[in-house]
Amino acid sequence: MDYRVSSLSEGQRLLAAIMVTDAVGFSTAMSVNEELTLRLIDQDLTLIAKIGHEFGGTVLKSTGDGLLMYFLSAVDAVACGLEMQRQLVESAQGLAPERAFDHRIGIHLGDIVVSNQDVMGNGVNITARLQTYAKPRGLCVSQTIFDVVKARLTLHATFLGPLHLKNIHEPVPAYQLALQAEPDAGPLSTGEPTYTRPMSVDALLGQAIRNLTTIDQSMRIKKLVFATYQQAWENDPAVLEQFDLHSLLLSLRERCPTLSDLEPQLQRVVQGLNRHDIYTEVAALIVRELQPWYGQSLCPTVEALQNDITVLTVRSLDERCRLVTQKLQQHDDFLRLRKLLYCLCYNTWENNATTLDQVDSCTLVQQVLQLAPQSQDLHYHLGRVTKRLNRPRQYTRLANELMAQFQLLYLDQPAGAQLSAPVSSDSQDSAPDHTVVTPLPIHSSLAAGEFTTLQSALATLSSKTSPTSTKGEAPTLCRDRASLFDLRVDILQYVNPLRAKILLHSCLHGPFGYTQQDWANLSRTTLDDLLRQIFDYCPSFADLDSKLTITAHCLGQGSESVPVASTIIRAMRAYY
Amino acid sequence: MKASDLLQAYTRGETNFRGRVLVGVDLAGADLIGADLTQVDLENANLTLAYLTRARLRQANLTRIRLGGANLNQADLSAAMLHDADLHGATLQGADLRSAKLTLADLLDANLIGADLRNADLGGANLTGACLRGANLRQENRKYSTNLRGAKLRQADLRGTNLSGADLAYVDLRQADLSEALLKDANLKGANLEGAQLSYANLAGVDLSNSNLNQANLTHCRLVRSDLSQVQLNDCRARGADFTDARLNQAQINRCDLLESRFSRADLSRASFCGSILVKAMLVEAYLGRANLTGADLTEAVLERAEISSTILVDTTLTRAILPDGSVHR
Repeated sequence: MDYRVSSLSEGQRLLAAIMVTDAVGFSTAMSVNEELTLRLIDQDLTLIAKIGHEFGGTVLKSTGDGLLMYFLSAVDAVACGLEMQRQLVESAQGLAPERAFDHRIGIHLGDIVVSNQDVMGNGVNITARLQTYAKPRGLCVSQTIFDVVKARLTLHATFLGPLHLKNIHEPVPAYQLALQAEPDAGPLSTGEPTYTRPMSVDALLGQAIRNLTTIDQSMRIKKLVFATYQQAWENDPAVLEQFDLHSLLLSLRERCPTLSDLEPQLQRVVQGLNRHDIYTEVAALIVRELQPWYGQSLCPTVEALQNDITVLTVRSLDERCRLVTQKLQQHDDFLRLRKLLYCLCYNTWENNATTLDQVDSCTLVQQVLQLAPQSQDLHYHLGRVTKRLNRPRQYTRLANELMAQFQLLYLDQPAGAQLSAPVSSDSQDSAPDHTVVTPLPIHSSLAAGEFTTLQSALATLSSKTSPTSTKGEAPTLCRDRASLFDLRVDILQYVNPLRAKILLHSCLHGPFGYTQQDWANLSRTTLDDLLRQIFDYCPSFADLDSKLTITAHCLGQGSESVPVASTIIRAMRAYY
Repeated sequence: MKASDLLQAYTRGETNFRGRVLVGVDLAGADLIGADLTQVDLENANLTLAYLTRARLRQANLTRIRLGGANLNQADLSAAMLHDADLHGATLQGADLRSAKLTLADLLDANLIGADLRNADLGGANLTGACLRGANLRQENRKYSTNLRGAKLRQADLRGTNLSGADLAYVDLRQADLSEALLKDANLKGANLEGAQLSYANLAGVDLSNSNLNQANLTHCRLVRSDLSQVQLNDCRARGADFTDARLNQAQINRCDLLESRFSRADLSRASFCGSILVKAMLVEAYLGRANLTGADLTEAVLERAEISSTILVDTTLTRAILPDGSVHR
């Protein structure tokens, strides 16, 4: 039996009802009796394909123990699915269990893309995941499909709630469809989340999250989970807001499959924090709450998942990484792209081309993928890096191109949002200087008592860095305050040096009075000295921002202080 | 001419004020962008924070003028008389200052990025904290050279500046940034370069005798043929620095990192290298008569044909070093 992708041409997109079928226990059966299993599955797939044709479906390909088909009508697809199950059950009647297969069917509405003789698209992936939630001899359809067909077909449906499907970014609400009414379930229960599985894995996770978010430590819990997963401490609630605890925990569990893997990871982060007594408790709390969830196996059926991974992705991840690397190498600005990748991996900015050459680009791509298994993660990390570069606009454009290329590696997921460049960066973009990464402010704008800094976790990341550039341009994450020549140039180029000095002097010693005494004092100190005093005077970037802005307003319009202040603030940001 | 007359004329659209006498006028904060002030007399005038972008001030008398914070970008100040002028925090980016007389002028924290200072006289001027990146100060012909004798250049930014042949004798260049600067054949006799950045700078043939280079960064600095006699070079970072054919007699080079540095054919008589790292250094044919290498590390250094017969070698590490006779030290 040969099902090739022939009905669609390369690159064509099609919105359709997608159906994926799968035989339950196929792998196990294969290991027992290969010949018989193959004969049985061939029989079943022939039957499925035949019924599919009758309902106007088109077979796209075979997955070995199932078929991927599409229908131009959702109603046809669901009616067909039910008919398939009915006929399959019928044909299996009276046979010994090992001589017949049960099948699962998933249906979802989505785009199909044909690429390199393979069918891809987010819709296909969601369908394949939904299929694993179907009961044997049952169907699992997405809410989208259900809403279209519920008025036209008589269904025995159970709402499964929003399902968090593996590698799918957004939860997909879905329904379980059965041939006969469930003995215990009502006739048609829509809306009410009556879980078919009592306390499913998802429910356990849901409960854990409910517990973790309702405690007063919830913000700290999120910060710690976030830091453990992203290897970067984030105090900004706006950034944290973009990540839901649910997907963070799911991704974290993918990396640390058991609790004993997770615990040391949490501990490692806690050790690097300045308030590690508080966070030790937080870590313990997280572990306690996650225990029941970790107690259950993550996948509905491991076998089913293994199957669809090997089947659905014809190109292996390695191959795709190589493909992405090749595409990147053809890019005009490959060097800068590579600098970005390098910075993502090693948390340090490298301008030295020789150092960059020593690292294999494909390895970099793979490392980045490890660091950012989802496009959302990549979006976050790139945003984190680009906003600290002195050419944010140029690098934001490159970061977006990078994300577009990486989409090939994130095929199962929807494309992430684009990064937006800061508006006020034109002047800085043209600075002749090297691109330099500026660190995040150590202290955020939160109340002084409420922050936590991360040292060692970042340190362990940077310890992997290769030798720094010999020219001493300090391509490190934080620009070195030992030498302020570059900072001075950044300021001088856009601001009158005397006005800069007047502003800084006023900030330190009160508004400048233009008296002889004031001038004499100003002549005794250099811009360098003033900048150093300002660093001491303003321990955090937020401090600097507010103090200089207030001073500028005090000095009034005539002194042109407001633009002077904003230039200085922007330039000094790199040193916090 | 009074200040008010000048400003009125300028507002009317007049720009030609050549040769006018404006001694002692108060034009603080005035806007005279692009005005032609060639050969004007502005002695003792106050032009603090004035806007003089692209103004023409060629051969003007600006003695003791107050130009603090003035904007003089791309202004023509060639052959102007700026003796004792106050240019504190002024912006002179890309200004033409060729042959200008700036003796004793105050250029504290001034922006001189890309300014043309060829043949300018900056003797005794205060350039503390000034930024001279990309400025041109090189010697125009054999007869004249940019004079910076006794100038104050502490914390000045001279990164990549061309100072070839400039006279920098006895200047204060403490903590100045001279990395990648071109100082070929310059005179730095008795200069104070303590803590200065000189990485990748070219100081070939420079007279640095009696100068102070303590704690300076000389990484990959080129000092070929330069005169470093009696120089203070303690506690320096000088990896890969090139001292080939240099004169270093009686130099104090203690506790320095001189990894892979080159001293071939250099005169190191009576020089002191106590506690310095000379790992993999090249000392072929170097003259080390009565030099003091106490506690120095010369692992894998090359001393082929070097003169070390009178050298003090107490506690000196010579592991795998190639000795004068070509043999390898065990």
